[in-house]
Amino acid sequence: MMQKIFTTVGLMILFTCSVIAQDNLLKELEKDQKGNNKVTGAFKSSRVINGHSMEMLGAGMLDFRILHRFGPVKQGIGDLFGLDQASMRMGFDFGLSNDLTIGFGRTTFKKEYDAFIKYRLIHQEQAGTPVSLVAVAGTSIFTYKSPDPLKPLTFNDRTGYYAQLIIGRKFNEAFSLQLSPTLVYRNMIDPADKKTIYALGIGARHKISKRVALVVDYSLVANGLPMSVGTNPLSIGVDIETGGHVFQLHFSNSTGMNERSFITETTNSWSKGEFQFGFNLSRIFSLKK
Amino acid sequence: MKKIVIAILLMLAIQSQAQERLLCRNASVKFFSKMPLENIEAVNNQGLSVIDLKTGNIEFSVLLKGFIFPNALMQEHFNENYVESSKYPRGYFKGSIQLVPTIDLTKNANYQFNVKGTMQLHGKTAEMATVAQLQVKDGIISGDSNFDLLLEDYAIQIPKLVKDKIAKSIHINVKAIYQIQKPNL
Repeated sequence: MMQKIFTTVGLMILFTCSVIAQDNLLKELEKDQKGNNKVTGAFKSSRVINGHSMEMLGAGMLDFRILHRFGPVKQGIGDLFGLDQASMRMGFDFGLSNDLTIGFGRTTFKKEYDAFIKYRLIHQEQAGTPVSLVAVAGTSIFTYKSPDPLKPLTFNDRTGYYAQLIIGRKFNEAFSLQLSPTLVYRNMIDPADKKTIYALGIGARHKISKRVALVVDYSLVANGLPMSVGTNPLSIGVDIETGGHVFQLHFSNSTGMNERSFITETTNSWSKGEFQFGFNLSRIFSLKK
Repeated sequence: MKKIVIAILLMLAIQSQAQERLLCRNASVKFFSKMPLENIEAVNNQGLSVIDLKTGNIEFSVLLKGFIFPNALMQEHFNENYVESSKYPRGYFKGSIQLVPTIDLTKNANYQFNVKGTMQLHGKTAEMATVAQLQVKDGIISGDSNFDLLLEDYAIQIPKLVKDKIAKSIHINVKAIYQIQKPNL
């Protein structure tokens, strides 16, 4: 009799143990499993609007980018709110690895070519590294003919450079913020200007649905601009993502489409109602099968 | 006497349990979305699975961020827009083998059985049933199964713009090579 009770109790204990073990086993295994906890999708695109974002292209991806900047909205209906005038930039960015992107493009304004290299030093992680850190270096060269035939422009005159560090964080599913201290150097300037310009880029994104987000891109130019003419570029827009395309529609007081141009050549002012419509169209192709 | 009986029982129990639990840490989970315009395929080789041959309980746990796509953008969209893997990091299957057959792991044989259970994905749970095979060959125990998941069962929405590119029903293939779990009570 006693024996039976002992046996039953023993079996019951064992059975319970094994049930607990079964439940815990998978949980234990999950703990050991180190998944990829890198934070992705802080911004929809590799640009906030004008400036680089903390996002990189994936390895083997080609981003074909078409940018348009129109004339001042305040020109009214006669010019269809500026849509009659447009400058554009066509560009190609390549993701050489998940952390390294190179790109080049050409802008109709000043017939300017530009190229950059962008490298992600630190990638934000869930429950880990709190920010992403991205370094960008770029150059530009304009190719329009000198208006004065007696004073031809040298190669050196035509070139400009920039270097940038992007510190960005995706705070939650909806909100991301980045700061990007930037240095722009131009060889040819107005006598009143400085060759080296320091600026602080501020970019923010707030998702309003899975595929639509509001974005703000601002650059605070810290020194060097003839501030009676120059203004800080502020762009406000909407990102719309549709599979392989991202449309970035925005209003901005800047018409520049590379760093040299939008940081140092913005002269319109929002406070005077001087802003224009523009869009970036990004189409991503996969180069590897 | 009693103590001896209990001790023997204990040993037997541990030993039998040792032989009745199968474990896999690197199950391959593949999914296929087949559409006239685009085929999408992704694979995850880190699926976790436990089978209790005694009770017939079978479990899978798969880290969604572990799915590798041929294309980084697809992978990002999968995680960000469809399964929302930072909110719902894993897919789970919990089920049981119907009419548990007697499985002898020492003999080469093929077994086929029905599995019924629940799939948990994207914060939603849905009933699921499939047929699974278990093969024992020269001490290697491998399992595989094929089934389809309806995205709408898991509230995964496909925007109209890409509805011709993403199938509403996703085909899943699971392959796992199991180890007999060593006793570690």
